[in-house]
Amino acid sequence: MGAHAVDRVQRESTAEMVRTFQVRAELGSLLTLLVDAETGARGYLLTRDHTFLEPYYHAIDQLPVQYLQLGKLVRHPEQRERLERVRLLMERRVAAMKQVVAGASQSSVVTLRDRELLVEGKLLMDEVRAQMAPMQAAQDAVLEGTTAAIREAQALSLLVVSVGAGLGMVGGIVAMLLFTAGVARRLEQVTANADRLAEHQPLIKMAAGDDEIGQLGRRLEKAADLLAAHDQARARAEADLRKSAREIQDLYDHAPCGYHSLDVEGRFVAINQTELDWLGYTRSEVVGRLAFKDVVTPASQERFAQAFGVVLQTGGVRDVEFELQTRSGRVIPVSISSTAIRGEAGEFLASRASLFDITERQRAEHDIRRLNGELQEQIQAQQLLNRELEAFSYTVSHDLRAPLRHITGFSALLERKAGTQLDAEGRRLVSRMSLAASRMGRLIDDLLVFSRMGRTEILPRPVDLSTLIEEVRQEVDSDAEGRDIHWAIHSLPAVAGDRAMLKLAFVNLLANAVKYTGTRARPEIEIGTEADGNGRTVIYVRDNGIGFDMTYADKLFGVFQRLHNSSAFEGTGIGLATVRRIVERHRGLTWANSIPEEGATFFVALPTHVKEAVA
Amino acid sequence: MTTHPKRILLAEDSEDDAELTLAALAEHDLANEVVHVRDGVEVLDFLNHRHQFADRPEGNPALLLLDLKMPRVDGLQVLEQIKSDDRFRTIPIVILTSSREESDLVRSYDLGVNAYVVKPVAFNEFIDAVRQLGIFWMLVNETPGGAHSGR
Repeated sequence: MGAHAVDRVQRESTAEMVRTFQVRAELGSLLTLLVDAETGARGYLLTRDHTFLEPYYHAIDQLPVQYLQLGKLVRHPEQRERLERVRLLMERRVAAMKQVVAGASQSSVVTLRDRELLVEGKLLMDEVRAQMAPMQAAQDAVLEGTTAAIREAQALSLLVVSVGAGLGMVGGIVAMLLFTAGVARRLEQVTANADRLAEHQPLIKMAAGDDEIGQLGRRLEKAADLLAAHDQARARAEADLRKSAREIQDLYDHAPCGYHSLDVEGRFVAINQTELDWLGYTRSEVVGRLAFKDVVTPASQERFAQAFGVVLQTGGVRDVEFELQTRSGRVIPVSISSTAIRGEAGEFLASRASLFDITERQRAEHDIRRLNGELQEQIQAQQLLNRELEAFSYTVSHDLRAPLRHITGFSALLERKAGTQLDAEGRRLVSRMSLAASRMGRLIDDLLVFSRMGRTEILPRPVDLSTLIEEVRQEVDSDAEGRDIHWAIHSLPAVAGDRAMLKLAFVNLLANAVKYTGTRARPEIEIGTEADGNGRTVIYVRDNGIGFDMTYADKLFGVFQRLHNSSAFEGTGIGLATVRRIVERHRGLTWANSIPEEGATFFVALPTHVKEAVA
Repeated sequence: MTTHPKRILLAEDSEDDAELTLAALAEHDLANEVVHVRDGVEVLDFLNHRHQFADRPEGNPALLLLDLKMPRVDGLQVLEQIKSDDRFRTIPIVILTSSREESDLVRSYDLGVNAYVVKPVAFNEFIDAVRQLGIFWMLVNETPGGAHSGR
């Protein structure tokens, strides 16, 4: 506060000082101007030389301006009064000079009047000076006063500062003393808390404080909280651990297999409940008392000794089969896997083994062997049967055909030799006989083929159906005795199978199509492929023939089943059965659709890839 | 040296088949000299001039029509023996049988048969087959020695 006051005084004083100097300067200028005017006028008066009027005119012009400037600077009422008097004096003098000058310009002689005016002028100037001096003095006095004020203010401010500094220092010392005392106390509190923390005792809450000690105190409290939380967590973890240990023990004891551990001499150091139950002992009877060899049958002793040796040396064995001997004498076949547990120095600590009761497995293996044996026998029986069938077919092939040939042969000879002796009816009868015999021949041939299709081995290979169908088509077409058949054969893929057998199947299918379109003016037969999605390729043979009634569709592929009587369409009734047998040997499927009088479509699904084609 | 007429040796155990074959041969005037034997033993006896054939005329037959299924010694055995005998190896042998079994075919050709013909059931076809056989083997085909041996 004191400083502010001093500062203000100082500023004011400085301004005052400046004003004082300015007033002095302006007063000086004013006087100068008057003097200039005076001298200019006198010079002119004396010489009537106009050059002297220049300073005179200049001064006259400037006087009012100067006066105005002074007016701005002067504040004091006394000063203003003096200034006013000076102004009046100046105006009188200026008026007088103007008179002189004007008069002088009219005559070139210095008149008396002129002398009077000049003297008056001098007197006036003296008066002006007389007025200005006190003005100046007054202003100087003000300045002095101001300067004195400044000096006083400065002295005061110095005093204030000194006092303040002194007080400050004292206060500072006091504060420091207080502070130090407080810090020491709080430091003591914190230290005490730290000690309590170390001894796991509860802390005493300290007074709050933002400084380092306060922070330290708070950190200690936080540390105490954390420690408490940590203790709790540890207590929980220990509880969990104990619980886990119990669970693990339970799992160990009641595992579906036996567990045990043996020491380096093969004695039990641990055993689970399952194994104890098998053996019929209690734990106290076994651990530390029995060796594993004591519960193994005599027959398995050597195997065990050997296996245990391996465990000791190499660290483990897997799936070794022994027989356990229980307390009651019952024998249990088991499979054992064992690992050696080693210490840090690599020394053997114990073996840990798991035992599986393989009674069931052995029984299953026995069953499998027995079943395999039975299967083998059945296979052999089947093969024997096949061979017998083979022989039978061969016999049929030869023996049945021979008398048939004789029948046809002698009928033909009869026709030739005695035909002339027969009447028309006789010849017709002979003819019917021949035809019947021929038909029988074809039946036998077809049967033999059918039978062979069930017996021969299939060697599945990729078969290009396009070329195969084309071959078949040509054969069938040439047999069609010049009928104009319209074939629409789409591009066909390759399938897996026996080419000869597949060819036979398609010969049957295409020949059928040709046969059953026999009544059509424009027979159309279409052969193409459809997707199956089960890894098979579907081929269809579609004709526009007489078709068949779907009601009897399941009979279609049966042996000797015909849905049309033989007078209308020649056939033995085995063709489709043969097709079905061939396709089924290829693990394929056959089926058909038809609308009577609108044609029929026969479908054959064959495996696309070789590995699916063997049956 | 007298030229021996060409002979056909027909080995066929079935009387019926024999008669039909002869009738077929007769249709084409090939029945000139057909000797009919009933089994493999008689074939070999004939070739070797044994027993009832001791006095038969000299010379091998120009053609042997051989059935497969015959009692005592069957067709394949006869085939084997003839083809392994230098004296008879060159006789043309046509197996005329009702069997189309692949196994018979293979074995026959393995043994060196000249032709294998399956007897068709239809008589007309049979006659045709016989005619073609006859014409070929008897008239067209040339054989070394045989009927024309001994110049």
